[in-house]
Amino acid sequence: MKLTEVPKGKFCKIKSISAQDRYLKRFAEMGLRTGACVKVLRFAPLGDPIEVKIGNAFLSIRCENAGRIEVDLADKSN
Amino acid sequence: MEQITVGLTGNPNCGKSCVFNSLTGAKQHVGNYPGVTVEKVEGWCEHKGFKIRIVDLPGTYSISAHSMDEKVARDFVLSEECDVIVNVIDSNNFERNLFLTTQLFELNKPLVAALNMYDVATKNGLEYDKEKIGTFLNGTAVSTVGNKGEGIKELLDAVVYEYNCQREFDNRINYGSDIEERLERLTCLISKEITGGDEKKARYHALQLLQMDCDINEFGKDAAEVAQEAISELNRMYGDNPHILMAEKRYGFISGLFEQTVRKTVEIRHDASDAIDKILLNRVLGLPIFFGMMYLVFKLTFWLGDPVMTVIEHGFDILKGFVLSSWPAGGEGPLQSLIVDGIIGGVGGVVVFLPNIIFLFLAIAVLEDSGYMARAAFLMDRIMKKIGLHGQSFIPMLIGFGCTVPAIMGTRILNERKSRLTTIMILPLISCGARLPIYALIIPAFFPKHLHGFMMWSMYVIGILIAIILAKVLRKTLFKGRNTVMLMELPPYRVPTLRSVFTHMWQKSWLYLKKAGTLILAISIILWAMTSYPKLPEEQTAGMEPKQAQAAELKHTAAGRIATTIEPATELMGFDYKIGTALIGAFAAKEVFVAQMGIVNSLGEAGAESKPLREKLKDQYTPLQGFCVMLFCLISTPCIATVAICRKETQSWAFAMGQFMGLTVLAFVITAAVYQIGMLLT
Repeated sequence: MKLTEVPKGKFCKIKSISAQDRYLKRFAEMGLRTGACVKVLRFAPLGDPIEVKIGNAFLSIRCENAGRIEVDLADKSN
Repeated sequence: MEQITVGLTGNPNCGKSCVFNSLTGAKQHVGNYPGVTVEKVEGWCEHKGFKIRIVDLPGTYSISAHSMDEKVARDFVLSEECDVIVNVIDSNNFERNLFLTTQLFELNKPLVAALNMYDVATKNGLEYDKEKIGTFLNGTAVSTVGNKGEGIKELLDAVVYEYNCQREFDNRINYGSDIEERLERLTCLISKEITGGDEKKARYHALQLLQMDCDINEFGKDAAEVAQEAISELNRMYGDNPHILMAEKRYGFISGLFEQTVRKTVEIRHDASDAIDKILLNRVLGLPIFFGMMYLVFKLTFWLGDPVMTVIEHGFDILKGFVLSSWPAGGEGPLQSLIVDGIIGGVGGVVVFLPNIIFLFLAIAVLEDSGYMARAAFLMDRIMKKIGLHGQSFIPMLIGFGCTVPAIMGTRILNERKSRLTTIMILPLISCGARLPIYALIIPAFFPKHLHGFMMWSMYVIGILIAIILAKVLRKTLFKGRNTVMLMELPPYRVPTLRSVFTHMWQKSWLYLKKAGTLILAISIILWAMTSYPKLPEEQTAGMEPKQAQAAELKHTAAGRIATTIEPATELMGFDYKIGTALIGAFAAKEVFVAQMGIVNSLGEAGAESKPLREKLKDQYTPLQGFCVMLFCLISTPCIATVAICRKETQSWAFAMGQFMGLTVLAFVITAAVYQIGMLLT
């Protein structure tokens, strides 16, 4: 499933990211990488972007970018 | 005394500025959202017989040089100038912060890791083996609590120790045999052709090439060919570009370090920020709270500022009275008029609004330091996206409510040039503090009390709306291009420290005062001269009513003549020659408009009982004219300093002048249209 499809409050593990190179780099620097555990916190009031928690950091990411992140649901908290 | 130069690096929101303040005692704003430290700020201290120069570098997540901030940080830590790198790490976000640390580690330079916010980490049940971390990083690790000044002495000890101990550096992260083999090949080539046998530097450049952190041709054609081939081969083998593979290895190194040096005694919970966000970013309440908060800021600006304003007004009146009463009898003349009308009238007219400015900056500082600013960007991103910009562009826009100059500097956080240029171009439309005196003068003069807050708020909203339209037009025409990725950290909420809020507020207010004391003083004097000279021969005003005589005298002066010349244009906007002369001065700085209106309306009455300026305006103009003045001042460029900073940040006179001319024409067209339609309706 895509990161944008994960229900609010659920954890998931990043399976793959399909994006342009320079985006991938940016993602990696911010901790968004294959294998990372992410918790989806909320959508912005206007539906975009979404807020996720990774490690101890809160990140805001646009749906068009988050839609390129394939994840598996996980029950582990980070 | 021997000097050590330290490059202070770290992720945004790691508390780096607090550490910097504790180290140097320097006054510097401690921000709470990415990109507040865009300037290269320096400080000094002495320790163990060394003079330590500390350069506070912009907060960055990496030194891959995507953005200007990253480039600045990278270039400095790479330079010969930097003796020791101090990497400030948020102890509560250790793994993510270490990404930058590993890059710094690979630079083969003396490195000190400062585990900051250590008190919170301890409270969260995290225990760090600092000695082991130091060993891993081939440097020293210390713990600090920046905002309380804890661990600062140990940090300085570590800096001196790392500077003195002459370590042998050969720091490497193992990227696995396939990548290492190609790295080696590239390193040899670069070492031979570029770095004159310096293997470590050559390896760093090879890493840059493989990670695509620089232009492929930067180290010559041969290196470019070898690098390109290596990238293609690795891509074929793994289905990914080397920089992704290398980032994974980097995280592998980080995981190893983390496993071996950190012990969690309890599960970390960061629920406070999340709980607040549940309300402030709520789907239903989020936006109303945000707009309500903005409205409250403007309401408070007036409500708290006005009483103080009355006191200052009164003070200037006393000063005027004192000058007039102590003036030698018979000595009244141009000098008295210059001091009373020109200097006291001009500067006083601007200083009087200082309370409003102070409260506006206070509110902005609280929003910034609490972490709400980044949330504003989160809330507004969808709207910003519609006009082809980022939610992050919203941060400079918010700063723009205070002052356009730092706002334009704040656009450096945007790493895509076209987004950045668009944001710079529209920023003057965000109503800055310099327009506040104009609103504060006109709104109470023409509108009933219960409408004051609303009128004020609507001026800001009109500016925002025009900015949005302009941005959309620019993104479709001049600055076409796709949006970059929108990825932004929302820092945890923090209670703003009094010191940081007041420092920030004071710095900005002081700038305003300084402007009043220098630029505005000078302009006031020039404008006073322009509105007083040349004098009209007395016989020409003989037999006129005093009011008529005054008008004839003003029209005869230099400013009057210019204003009369442009009157056909200004008349379309409902402005008479008095407003015309004041607008001439307002091109230099918007606050001058108020000062100038004060001068123009008090000429020839020094010594007489003078009515407050508001009353005088009420007698002369209609509310529509008042509104049009505000509108023109809102849309035209705020001040000369904006033009200068726009030139500096865009590196182009064409953009700076284009912005200035474009906004002036836009202001004229819109104001004239509003006035003409208004006249038809009334």
